[in-house]
Amino acid sequence: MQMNPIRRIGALATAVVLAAAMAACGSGGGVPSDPSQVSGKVTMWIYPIGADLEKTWWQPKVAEFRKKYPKVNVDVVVQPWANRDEQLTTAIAGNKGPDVVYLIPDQLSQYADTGALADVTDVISSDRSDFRDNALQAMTYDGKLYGVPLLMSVTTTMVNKKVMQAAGVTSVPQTWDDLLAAAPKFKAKGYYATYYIGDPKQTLNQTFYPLLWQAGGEVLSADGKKCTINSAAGLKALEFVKKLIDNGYTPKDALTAAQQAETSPFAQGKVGVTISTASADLATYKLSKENYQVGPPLKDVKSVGYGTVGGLSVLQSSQNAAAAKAWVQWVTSTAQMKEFDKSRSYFPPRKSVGSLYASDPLVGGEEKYLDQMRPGVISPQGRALMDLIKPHLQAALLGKVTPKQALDAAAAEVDALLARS
Amino acid sequence: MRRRLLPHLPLALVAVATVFPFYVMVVLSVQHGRPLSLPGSLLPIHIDFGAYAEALAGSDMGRWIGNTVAYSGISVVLVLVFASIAAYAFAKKRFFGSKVLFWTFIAMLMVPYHLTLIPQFILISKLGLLDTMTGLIVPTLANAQALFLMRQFIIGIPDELIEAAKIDGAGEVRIFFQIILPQCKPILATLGVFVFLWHWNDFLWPLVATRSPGNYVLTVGLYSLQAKDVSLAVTMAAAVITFLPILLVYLLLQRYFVRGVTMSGMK
Repeated sequence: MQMNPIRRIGALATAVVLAAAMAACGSGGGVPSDPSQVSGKVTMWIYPIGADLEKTWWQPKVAEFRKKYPKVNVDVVVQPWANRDEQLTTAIAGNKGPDVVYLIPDQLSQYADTGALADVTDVISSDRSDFRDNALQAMTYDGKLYGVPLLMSVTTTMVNKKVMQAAGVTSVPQTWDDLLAAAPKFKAKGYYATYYIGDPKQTLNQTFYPLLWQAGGEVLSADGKKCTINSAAGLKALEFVKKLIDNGYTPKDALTAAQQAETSPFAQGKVGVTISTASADLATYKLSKENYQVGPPLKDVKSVGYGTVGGLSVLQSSQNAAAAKAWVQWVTSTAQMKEFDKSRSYFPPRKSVGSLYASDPLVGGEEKYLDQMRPGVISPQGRALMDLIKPHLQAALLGKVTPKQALDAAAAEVDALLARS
Repeated sequence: MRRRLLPHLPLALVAVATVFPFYVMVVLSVQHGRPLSLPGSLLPIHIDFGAYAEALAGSDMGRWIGNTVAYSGISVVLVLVFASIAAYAFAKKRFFGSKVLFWTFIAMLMVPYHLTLIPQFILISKLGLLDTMTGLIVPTLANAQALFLMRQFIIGIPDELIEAAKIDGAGEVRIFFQIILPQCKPILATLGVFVFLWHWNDFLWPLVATRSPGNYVLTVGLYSLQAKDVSLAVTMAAAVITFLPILLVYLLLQRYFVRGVTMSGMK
């Protein structure tokens, strides 16, 4: 079919404009090797990570960066954690998003799925092997790297030494069977063996998922299209938790009522072993670190725990992608990462940073398990499917339905959600 | 004596129940960094103001308070002006489509705020008002709730008053300012308190519409200082800091507030 010449010119002009716009807005192209070639203004949105005031940290860092990249201006804005997704989504929709933003894996897959993030593979092309595999995996969606890891966290087994001593439990439980064997001893002395939180506000990342992984299960199939929580491993994990509850080894009211950290049995020193805790929690309510000891994540068929990864992503809409990537590359370099993570008691995703906490028995103990951490479910629906699963788990743990019924019902709902999305 | 006190007992109990959450807020805010054992921790034996220091660790605090006062204060004045003018028109004027227009406006109350957030943001952004006080205030001025309350109040003002003013030769502007508005003092004061509260506590719109920390309002600024795993004491301290100015406003305008409630109850 012949196209009207005027329409043909119109179509051609549209194509040219689109191509020009894409070239202007797109974040293709890596970081030029010569810093003097990089210029532009970069806005980074970050959040209050750690207790110190971020401005006092970031302003000197920007000045330091500018010594290397004199033509790049960086504006670091510390945003509140609260409603950060609404804020970022609105900004992206209005084409007023930042150039660089701090994201965690749950968010990353959501934004990457909508095409809002730029591929940052080129930022770490020269030293990719220096990053831990699980950190890179957490920032990868659909085979592409959408964020450069900046920090990692570890949650693992932690024991209250006084409670252990009072109950006559001599070694840190390593497996589910160890915990079940020690549990009656804790109970006999009036303590809880462990502390499973099942209220609907709680994330599954620190409750059920680690147990599921430890039993060899997965939340979703490898292609992310099917829920596999009702596998034999899932059933085993849920039955394990139910056993802990039915025998009074973990507080039953924690299944229904959201408990503040400060008022929890853990903070009151009534729990022998917690199964997914970070030592940083102790500092929040000034619990004596000396009274606690960490162990490896519990094991059924494998020892694995939940640890998040925080990384810096470049937005697809960035007008200064090369400058944004240069900034991300600089902030996540070995020297900068070391300083940042150490000052905030996080762990480094780069192997070359080495051990940051070797002299601290507690944090140093956690550091050993960095490679055993998993970041949760990498799916744009990661958060949404948690909300579908949680009530079913709760119903099973409260004895309203059998574990099998609960998991089947949860899987059916998740499958329906995945089919719709 | 007992007979005189007895009727007040239920009121005293309600008062205690009402004040109790505020008491808890203040007491927990001075229990910085200590495991809490309820109800024991509600006796303020250990007082530590560290949580306040942590919540206030920002040098922009003065600006945030100033911005919040401006945001809340200017909004109160403008919302009351627009709502009273529109309410007068809807209550006392008959014009084509007035009812449809009014109920369409009131239907805005049923639209979830999150749905309008992005279009509102894009509009402000295209007008070049992002990160400005004007951009912050303007979208909040069409307040359906304020309009509804004002209209209900103005409907109750006798038409005879307006007729009499007309017979005396008063024009529309004069009727509005000299007859209607003075009658509306109680509802204006009540609404003023509410609108001030709404704006003082507003978080999402200022979060989205402001960019530079210097332009933050108090709620956004305080949150931006707080680490994710912030303790309960710091959260409570921030709540106390945010709450104190509103308490002050309420105490100052209390008699208008109470009068407003009483009068609207008698209508």
